[in-house]
Amino acid sequence: MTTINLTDSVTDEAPAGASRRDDSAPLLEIKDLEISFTTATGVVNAVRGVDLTVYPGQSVAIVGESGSGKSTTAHAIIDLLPGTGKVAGGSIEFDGKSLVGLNRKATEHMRGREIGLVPQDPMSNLNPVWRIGTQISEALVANGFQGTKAEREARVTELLGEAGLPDGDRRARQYPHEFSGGMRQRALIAIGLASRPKLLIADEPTSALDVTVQKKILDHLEELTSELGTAVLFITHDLGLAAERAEHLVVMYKGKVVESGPALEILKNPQHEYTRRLVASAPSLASRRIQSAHEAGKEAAEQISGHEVEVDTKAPKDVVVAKDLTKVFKIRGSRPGTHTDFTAVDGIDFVLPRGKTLALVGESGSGKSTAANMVLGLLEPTSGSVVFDGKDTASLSGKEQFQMRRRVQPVFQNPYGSLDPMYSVFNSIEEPLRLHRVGDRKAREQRVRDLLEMVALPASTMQRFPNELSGGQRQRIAVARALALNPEVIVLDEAVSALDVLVQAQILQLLGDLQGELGLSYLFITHDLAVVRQIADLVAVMKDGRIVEHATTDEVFDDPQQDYTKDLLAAIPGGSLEIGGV
Amino acid sequence: MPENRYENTPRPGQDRYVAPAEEVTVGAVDAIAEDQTPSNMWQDAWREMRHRPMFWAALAIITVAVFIALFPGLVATQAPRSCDLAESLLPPSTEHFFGTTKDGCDIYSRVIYGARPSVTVGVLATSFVVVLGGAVGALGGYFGGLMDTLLSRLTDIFFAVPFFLAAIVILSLLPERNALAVALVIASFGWTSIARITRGSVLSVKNNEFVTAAKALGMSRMGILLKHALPNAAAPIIVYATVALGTFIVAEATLTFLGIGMPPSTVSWGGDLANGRLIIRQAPEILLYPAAALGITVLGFIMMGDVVRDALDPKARKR
Amino acid sequence: MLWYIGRRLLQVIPVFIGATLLVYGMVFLRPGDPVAALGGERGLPEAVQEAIRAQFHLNEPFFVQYLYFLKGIFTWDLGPDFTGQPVTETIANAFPVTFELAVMAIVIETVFGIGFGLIAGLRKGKVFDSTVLVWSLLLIALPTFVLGFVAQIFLGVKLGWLPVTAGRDPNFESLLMPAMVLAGTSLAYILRLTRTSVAETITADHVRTARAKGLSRGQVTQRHVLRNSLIPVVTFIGADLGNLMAGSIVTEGIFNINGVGGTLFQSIVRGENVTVVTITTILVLVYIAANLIVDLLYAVLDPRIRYA
Repeated sequence: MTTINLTDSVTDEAPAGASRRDDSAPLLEIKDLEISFTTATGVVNAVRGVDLTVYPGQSVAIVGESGSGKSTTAHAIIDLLPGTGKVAGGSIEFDGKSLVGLNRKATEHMRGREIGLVPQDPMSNLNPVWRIGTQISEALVANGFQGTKAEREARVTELLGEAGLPDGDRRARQYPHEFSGGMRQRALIAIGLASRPKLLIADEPTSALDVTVQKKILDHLEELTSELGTAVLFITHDLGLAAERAEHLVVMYKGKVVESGPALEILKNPQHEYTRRLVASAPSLASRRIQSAHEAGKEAAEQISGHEVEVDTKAPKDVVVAKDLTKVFKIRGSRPGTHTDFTAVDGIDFVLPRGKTLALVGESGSGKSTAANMVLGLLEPTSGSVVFDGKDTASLSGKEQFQMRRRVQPVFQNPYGSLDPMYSVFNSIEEPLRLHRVGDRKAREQRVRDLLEMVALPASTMQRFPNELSGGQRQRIAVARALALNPEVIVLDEAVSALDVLVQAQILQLLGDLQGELGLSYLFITHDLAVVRQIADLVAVMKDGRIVEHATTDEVFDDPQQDYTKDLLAAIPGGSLEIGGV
Repeated sequence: MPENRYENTPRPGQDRYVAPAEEVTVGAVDAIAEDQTPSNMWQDAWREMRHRPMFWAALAIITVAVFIALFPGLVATQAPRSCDLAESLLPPSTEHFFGTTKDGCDIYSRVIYGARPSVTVGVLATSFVVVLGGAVGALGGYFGGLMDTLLSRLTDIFFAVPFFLAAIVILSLLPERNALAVALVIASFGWTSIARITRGSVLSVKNNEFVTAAKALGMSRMGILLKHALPNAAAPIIVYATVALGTFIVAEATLTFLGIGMPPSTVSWGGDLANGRLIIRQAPEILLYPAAALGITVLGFIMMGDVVRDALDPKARKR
Repeated sequence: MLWYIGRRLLQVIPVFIGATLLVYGMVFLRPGDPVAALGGERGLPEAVQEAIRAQFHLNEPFFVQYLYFLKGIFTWDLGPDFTGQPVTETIANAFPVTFELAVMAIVIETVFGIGFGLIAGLRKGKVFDSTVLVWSLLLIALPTFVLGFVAQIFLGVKLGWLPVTAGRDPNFESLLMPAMVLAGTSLAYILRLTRTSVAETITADHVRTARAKGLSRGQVTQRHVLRNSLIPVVTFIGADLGNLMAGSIVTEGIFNINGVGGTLFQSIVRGENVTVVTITTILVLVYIAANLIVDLLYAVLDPRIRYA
């Protein structure tokens, strides 16, 4: 681990009285905050009457789904509201001064020096054309760093080291595209803390990162800020993460605070309807709950979607079997004619029993999606085979392959990319029927109606277009389209990962119900072990193209054999919380 | 920080707070707003454009220009070639709205009749360019590999030859020139931009998950190209084509002005500008009318392209 | 980085060959016989015609003629034209003034296009932005020669600020108006491109982060908005040098400048195919070279390309 070096070259110029106030007076006090955006159709109130208090050195979290106004609130504090957004009412007091209506100079003075920001998406938040070191050092200069160039460079190295990037000299000379997501996030933390702000706003600081990286970075951030005495305002959608990292929680919904108070108290005893739903649905918490229930020897069947299906005894028991499946990609080198082999999937074996759910779990680059695409017949395996219902798919003729496509259908991750924006919902769901010449027009329309009902959408949805629907609704349409041809296997490639917690829970429930009704088998690709607990019967953990552990869900959770699996389990947010059984 | 932060008694301002249930009502998760009328991208764009004066101005210009090009006889006051040398260089009057040329022709009528070759060349060249460039771009972008390399190189080659120079060289070789010939020459070197635009747009559509889903259904590559990739690539093509129509009209006028576009026997804006130029010091205002007609027509198409682009911009439409 | 340059150079070769072949084919496969037309009404004696054909390799197959031509280009020895003046000399006389004109136009369009575009993009939707946008539309809608007349009438005749035509051996002042006219359309495109690019960049996440760091507005614009926005603009400007030199045909005609445009025109009329093809080839080369420079500049501006 990194040693944290706290040589602070920014002199503390706070008045003597400040230290006394530290204990009792709030650092940040937001009262009755109103934020509105002007749009073509009128004024939209994004934040309505929000109260929030943060004490020095304390960590507070705002929890909410997308559109709840949590990020808007945070951006209002440092006067970085996008577009037409403006503070329409209420007050924001920081360290005894009002931040609303501050002139430009004073605002620029406050940013970075008093309040730092760690933004959400590490991929887009560093300027691709400047070196990392330059981007940190300009933060130092802007906030009054006095010193020579050499001193500044030394300080940059120090800050990088502090943020968990040893070898800072070399790192400072690199460009963002040479950094991984986790490293970029560390650089952004270094920038946020460069001038020793009293408050750090961390806007979903790790949600774009792999879980194990996420945990490491959050642990590090926690350590660092508590050493420095920096207060942290977390903005997050993950209740488990919020409760684990903050002492005080503020739950926002539709621009309002629905509940606030000590973190654990809210978790143990949610009062508001919305908070209750959130606590019940959060995968990290649900997974913990199942875990504790399990440890207590209770039957956890009601938490896991029940799906006992009568299996056709004549058909093979395992509907999909992957045997020594391997995929090698050739990556073109920078020199002409050269290429390197990249083994995305390296000789994996797994079985998907009929009517069951197998989760392929892994972090980005583990090869899980490549494996899924081979099962779907979208990628040709370099070696090994996919056996579907007893037949090797490589041996199928063109016509047989076309027939097989009816039996394996995908649902993808991105709810914005999975439906053709030019197609109405009806056309999208009808497309597979038309392509496979199922029924006449009338029969197809009836089938679309039935399918919409199956995914709990009104028939009137048929005439709508994807841009009118929410992420969850689009995913349901995608499920309906996948079901159109009565497939036996559905490959769910991160199908719920992009959704808000409550919507995610709803789709998982729907998938569970459909599996029970139709006897479907799911190949569930995900990076999120917490979700796995809620839906899967079997788990295969992938790392660097290999399967490191393949067992039943209970075995994997109760008695993980591999260190990597243990790391993944430990990284589920909320691990340190004692929330007890159900 | 206290040892056990969870057991800490709340500080002022951080007391337990629960919003009254009636203040924030929690709706059904992910309910569909059934009261909204369904709309797709084109309807949205229409709704957006409807409120912009520039759209109506552009539409009016284009409508008038096309109408005049189709039925010049209905608008003109006399035949464009019935000139009377006795009426040389008359000032504007009720008989000659814009005055007369040195040869005594009615400028107004000539301006009206001059619309046809410009609009014809513009429309023809744009059609050729969309078909040729669209096909090259779509095939290269969608199928990739060797086909893409070859088509991209071909596009590069045509792009590297200066458009005007090539047009002048070819047109000067042709024994006889008419609107079709001029349009073909313009198109044969003007298709490269649209090929690049189509290619880029097909490439970006190709990676969408709905395309992968269609593949997983067993749809053929050609089917996906025609049913998914092209309709989605249509927006940028239409925007570019609208602007290109305007610039092709400019190109036609310039070539005619240089004496290698439309033949002198055809009444055209470019030709009249060339004639007017001979007496620019004597009567510069004669140039004004064909130049204004040309400028306004082109402006109409360019403005339309601008408005449509704004209305179709996915970033502006983001919900 | 070296591999990047090397790869770009390799890609240039097929484009060069393809483009020159295209031009060469266009000109030499034309119907009619320039040699037969040389001697006026009566024509030259058959033997003389044969001699001339042999001298210009006109009896050889098309591809051989093309190779002779390529050799001529690279050794810069293209022989005399039909009047006996070396082709290279004709071209060497024509190019400098056109090049000067094109460079002046590039400077004008770059400075004003980027300058106005930047201000418009930073103040999107404000009065300055809308005004500039309307002007840019007008510039695009008006053909260069119309713009030339307008400039001649107003700047030259009515106001008398600049010479109306340039004529032989033009100086800087007399080239200023032609350069402005030549730059007009591209200026509008650069302005619009810069404006869009700037307006997009200021909403980028990394710009917000830069502001959150405490950088002043000027620093953010200068260090984070401008450089990132310029990347697409640079591409356009590079591709434009070739277009400007070709486009100067019109401008030179209007302002009576004896450059590439005039020479090309005369050569076409006289059937001096070698001169026509050579001029075109040089313009293709200019285009290719400008694009290469842009690619290198691109790599300087954007480190992602440099290390790709």
